[in-house]
Amino acid sequence: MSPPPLPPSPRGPHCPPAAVLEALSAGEPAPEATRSHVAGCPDCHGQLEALTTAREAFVRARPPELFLRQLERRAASQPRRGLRWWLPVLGACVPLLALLVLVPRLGQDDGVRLKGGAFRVVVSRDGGAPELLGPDALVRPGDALRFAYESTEAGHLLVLELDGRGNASVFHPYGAATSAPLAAAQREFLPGSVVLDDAPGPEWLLAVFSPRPLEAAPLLEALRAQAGRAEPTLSCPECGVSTIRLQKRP
Amino acid sequence: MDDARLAQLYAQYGYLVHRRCLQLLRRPEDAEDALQETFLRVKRYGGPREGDATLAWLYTIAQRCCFDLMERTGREPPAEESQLAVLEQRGEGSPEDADRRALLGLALRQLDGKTRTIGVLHFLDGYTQEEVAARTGYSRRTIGKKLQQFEQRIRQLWQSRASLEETR
Repeated sequence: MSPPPLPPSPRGPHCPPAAVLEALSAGEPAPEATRSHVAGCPDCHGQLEALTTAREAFVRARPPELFLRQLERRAASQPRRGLRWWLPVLGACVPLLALLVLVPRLGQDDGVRLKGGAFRVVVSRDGGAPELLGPDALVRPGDALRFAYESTEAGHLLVLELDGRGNASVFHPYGAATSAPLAAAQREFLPGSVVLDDAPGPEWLLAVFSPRPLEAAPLLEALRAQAGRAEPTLSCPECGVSTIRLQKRP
Repeated sequence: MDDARLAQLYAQYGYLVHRRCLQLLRRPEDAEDALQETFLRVKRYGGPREGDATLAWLYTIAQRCCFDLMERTGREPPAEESQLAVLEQRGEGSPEDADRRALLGLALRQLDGKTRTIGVLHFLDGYTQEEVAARTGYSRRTIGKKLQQFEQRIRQLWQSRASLEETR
């Protein structure tokens, strides 16, 4: 059965709209008629009082100086304005250049090799050539992912996933409770591939590398606790964590 | 904009901007993210034009930030009781209305700019159809048609959510 139409915000025949009360609570001017109505209307007056009290409590709990420091940190973590226009161009060019270099090598199934730094992810679709994935690359349910991780030292590796539904799992070694050993200067892709499910939204992949074996459970728990955050982070002693976010759409 | 003016704007309007972001995004952490992004844009691009109402201007920026965030994360706003509880009684109607209002942000994101503006003015700012017509300059008939489209989208979302819950 279809639900009834959604009613607008309830208000009396002479009451001002919610937005006007909100503006009043912030100290914005209003016509005298509105002010005198609000002063005499228990409903409007109560709402204005509630908004004003909530605003004061909000500022007490999160004072402006603290908020300004948060903004500074946020601004420092974002790209500079002047550089913004060419970042998408660079973003498009780097994977393209990487593909030009890598695709001839990736075409050979077990001879897949990658040159360069730590964590790399490629996707295979319908038997096509593997494609190197950059930050926020688009992937689809059913895509098969393979991973490479290169380190100058031998150690232990876990590749973890946090999906758009907030589920966290181990992608390498797939479904395992502990990390897999990794040889130094390992350029070949790790064995096996992982097929993506249909959970929509951002797909975070985190490669956790450690000189000692790692237990997956506490790291998965930490990831699940951060579901929905702008950027999940993991910390464990002596670990190196590399993160990439993909965007999964049907 | 300098820090002193920004701090003053935040003290005066921060709560209301956060509240509007929460109405659209529903997740406290996303609302926090959108609040910071809103004030960062204000810091970068300066204050409202002479004569503009500051709250309405901040709401416009905040809504843009919310839709950008939804787009970027590909995340749908949840409709969970625990998160609805932080919203105030007024403007929420019955509990079922509140549940469906939880879909407002998602419906707004999926509609064109004109319908979105009309939906925000009617369902979030609380203006009647006549007042929306007067504020936007669209005819009363256009407002009615756009709100019908909006209702239609809400119903579709509501029904797909209900059928999803049945299959669980």
